[in-house]
Amino acid sequence: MHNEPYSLPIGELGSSGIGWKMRTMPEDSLRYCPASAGDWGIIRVGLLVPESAMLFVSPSGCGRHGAIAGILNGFMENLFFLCISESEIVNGQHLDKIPEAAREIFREGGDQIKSLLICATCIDTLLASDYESLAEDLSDETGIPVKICHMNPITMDGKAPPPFTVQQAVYGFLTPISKKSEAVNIIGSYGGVMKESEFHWLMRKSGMGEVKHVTTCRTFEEYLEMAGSTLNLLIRPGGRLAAAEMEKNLRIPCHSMPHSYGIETVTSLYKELESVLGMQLPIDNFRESALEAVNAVIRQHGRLRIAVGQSINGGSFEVARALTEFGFEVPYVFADMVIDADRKHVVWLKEHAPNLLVYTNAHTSMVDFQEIGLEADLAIGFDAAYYCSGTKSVPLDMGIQPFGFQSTEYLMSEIEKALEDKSCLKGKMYASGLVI
Amino acid sequence: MKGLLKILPPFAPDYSGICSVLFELDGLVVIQDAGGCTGNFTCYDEPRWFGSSSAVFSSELREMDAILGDDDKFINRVREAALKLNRKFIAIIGSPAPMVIGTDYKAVAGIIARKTELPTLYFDANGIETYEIGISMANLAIANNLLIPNLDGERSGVNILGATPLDFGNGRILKDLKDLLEVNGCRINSTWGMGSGLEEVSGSLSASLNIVVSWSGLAAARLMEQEHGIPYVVGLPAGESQSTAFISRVLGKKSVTPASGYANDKSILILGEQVQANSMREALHFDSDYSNIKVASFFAMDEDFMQDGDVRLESESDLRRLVRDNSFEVVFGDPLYRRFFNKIERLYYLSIPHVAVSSRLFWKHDFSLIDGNWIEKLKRSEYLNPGLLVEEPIYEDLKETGLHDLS
Repeated sequence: MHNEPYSLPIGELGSSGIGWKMRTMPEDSLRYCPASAGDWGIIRVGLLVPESAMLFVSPSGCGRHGAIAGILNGFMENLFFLCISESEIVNGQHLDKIPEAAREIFREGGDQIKSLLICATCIDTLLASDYESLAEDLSDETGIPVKICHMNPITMDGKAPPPFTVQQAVYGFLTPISKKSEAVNIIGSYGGVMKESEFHWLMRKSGMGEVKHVTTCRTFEEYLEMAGSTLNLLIRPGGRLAAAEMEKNLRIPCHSMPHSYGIETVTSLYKELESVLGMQLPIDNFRESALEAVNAVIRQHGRLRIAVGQSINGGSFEVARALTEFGFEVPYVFADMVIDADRKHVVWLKEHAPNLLVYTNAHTSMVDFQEIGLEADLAIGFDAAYYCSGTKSVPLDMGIQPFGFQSTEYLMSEIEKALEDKSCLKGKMYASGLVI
Repeated sequence: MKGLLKILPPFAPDYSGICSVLFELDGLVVIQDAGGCTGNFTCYDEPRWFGSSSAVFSSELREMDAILGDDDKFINRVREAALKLNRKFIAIIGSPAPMVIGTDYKAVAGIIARKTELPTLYFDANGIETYEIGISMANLAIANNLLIPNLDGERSGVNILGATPLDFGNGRILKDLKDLLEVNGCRINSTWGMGSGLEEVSGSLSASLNIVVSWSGLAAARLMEQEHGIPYVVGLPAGESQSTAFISRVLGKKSVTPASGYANDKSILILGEQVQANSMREALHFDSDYSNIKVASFFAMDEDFMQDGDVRLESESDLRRLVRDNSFEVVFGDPLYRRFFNKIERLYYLSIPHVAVSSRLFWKHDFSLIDGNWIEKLKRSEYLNPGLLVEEPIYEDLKETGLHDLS
C-alpha cells in the first residue's frame, strides 16, 4: 500500500497556518533524504577563503560526506579531520587535542596555510564548548588567524542556522583596513559573478569599480583587501549575517539585490540599485538581449512544462515565477521552506499559476515518489529531476554565479543545453558532490 | 596524532552499517539526528538508495528538543510515519547528538512499540564507531528478534551473514559466491543485508550452515551456533584453488591444500576487511605460494583469524609506521590508501575499492575475487621480471574509467 505524496496547491501556502519562514510540510513528519537533496555543505563553503585550511572536529561519521565531496570537488588537500572518541567528548578532552592537531597542520602545511577555520558540530553546540577562546589562544600562539564555524544542523530552525553562520566565518577573517578601493563585494553566493554578466560593465561604467568575491581572490592577502570595498551586495540569503557583521565591523554598507532570473524582477532590482547609487544605469540593451534569449527558446521549443526544485542556485519560487512570466508552464515546485525572500513571488504565483503544486523533498510520503509519476519536459535542479523521473535536468550549479539580465540568458542557454544532454541524472548528480 | 586524518576521509559510521543491513527488510528505519547523519548514509554509504523506496528517515532532531528532552515529538513523528507507510517493523538508531544527551532508546522504543503495535528495534549507535560495528549490531538484533523458530526441525541450505554494499559494493563478489554454491548443489536460504527480504531472513533457522563473509557476520553466527546449533564457516572463494578448498569446507568435505607452483617471498600487504583479506591471503598461498603476506585493517579484526604480523590500525600514523617498518612490494587495498605508498619506488598496487572507505567514488567498480584474474595479473606483471616496473593495473583502469563517472 502506498500513499499519495504530500503536496499543497500554491494557493494554500500561507493560508493554512504556514508562515513565511516555515516548513512547507507538517511538523509531525519524519524527514526524507532523497538522493538528490543537498547543498554545497558547510565544509566546502568554509574553505572558500584562499590559502585557508579547515580542521573539522567531530565524531568520525559527521565529516564523512564533506570529505568525499572534498575528494570529488578538489578541496580535500586543506581539509583535516580530528575524529574524537566518546570518552573524550564526555570528559571534554577533545578540546585539549585541537591545539596539537592545529600545530601539526601548520607545521606540515608551512607557509601555504594563511588561516585556519575550526569546524565544530552538533555535539559541541549541546555541550556549549568554548571554541572561541581556543581559537584566540591558537591565533596568539601561532600568529595565524584562526576562526570558528559550525556544522550543527541541530540549530537549523534557529535564528543563526549553519549555512548563514559559516558565511559569517568566511568573512570573519576580514579586519578594518585604511586602504579603501572602489569595489563592490558580492556576498552570499558561492561563486563570483560570471564574467559574461553585464554587471561588471555597469559597475565600471558607474564608477563603482571592480566586482569582488571571495573566490576571485587568488591569495589570502588579496581576500583581506575586500575589507576596503565601498559596498557589499547581498545576492543570496545565506550571506545575510555576514553582511550585517561586515556593516558593523568594517563599516561597509550593504544593499540587498537577490540573484534572480526573471526579467521584470531584475529590472526592478536594478531600479532599486540606481536609488542606492544615486545614478541611472544603462540597462535597456541588456534587458532587450535577455528578452530575445527567452523568445528564441520559446520559438524553438514552445511552452515547455518545467518543474522547479530547491537544490539550485536561486530561489525556487523566483525561478518558477520567472519561467511562468516567460510563458512556460510550471506544474510543480519542490521546496521544503518558504522564506521571506520568496513571499512576493509566492503571492504572484498564487494569482498567475493557481494550479501549481508545491511538493517537499522531505515529507515522509516522498519515499513512495516513484508511485507519483510526475511528468515534465524539463526539471530545474537535480531534486526536481529525481522526482520527475526521466526528465532532462538543468542543475543551476551553486558555484556558477550568473547575475543581472545575464541570469536570464544563462538560464535559457542551460535549458537549451539540457534538452540536448544525453548524460544520466545519477552520474551528474553524484559528481556534483552535494551534501545534506 | 591519533584521530587526526590528513589523507583519508572518515570511514562509514556505525549507523550506516545498521541501516545497510536493514535496507531491504521493509522496515521503518529512523535515525535520531538532525539530518546530516541520515544524509551520510543515504547519499554516501548506500549504493542502493538512488531510486529506492526503502523507508529510511531522519527524525530531524533540533536543539530545543534535545535540551528539553522532548522525545514526544520524535515518537509522534515515528507513529505518524508508521500509520502511513505500512512497514513490517520499526528501527530507531542513535547518532552523536542523542548520545550527548543520553537518550534512553530502550524506553523510547518501548513506547513506540506500544503505540504502533509493531516490533521496534533500537540501536545505541553514536557515529563514533565504524560501520562494521553497526552491521554486527544489526545482525545480532536480527538473530535475537526477527528469526522464526524452525518448528519441523528439518535443516538444509545456507545463510550468508555479513554482506552489505559497504563491504561488497556492487555485489559481484557475492554473486560469484552464490553461483559457486548453487553449482555445487548448495541452496541459499538467505543473504542478510544484501539480497534477501524479511521473510527469507526470518526463516534463517531452517538452514544447516551459516557462511560468514565479513567480520560483521561473526557475532550473529556464533550466537546462532550457540543457541540454535547452526555451525558456520568463515571465508569467501578467491581464485581457483582456494575456491575449491572453500567449497569443500562448506560441503563438509575434507579440504586438500593444493600444491603451489613456485615459491615467492615478495612482501605483500592486504589492507581491508578481515575476512575478505584472509581469503585473498589464502588464495595467494594456494595459487602462487606467496608466503610473506600481512593483513592490516582500520576495522575490527577477530583474534581467532589473525596471523602473526597482522595489524589492527587505529590511525593514519599506524599505517605510516607499518609502511615505514616494512618493505612492501605488493599492496592490495582501496584506492584512497594509495597515497601512503607514494614513496615506494617499486610497488605493485592493486586497487580494490571498499565502499566503507571511498564511499561512492568507486562503488560501481566490478571486482571478482573468485576468478583469480587478480592473482594472474600479479603473477604476470612485469614487476616480477627484474628491471621492469608495471604498477597497479586496476588503479589505472579506475583512472581511465574516470573518478567522476559515478553512476
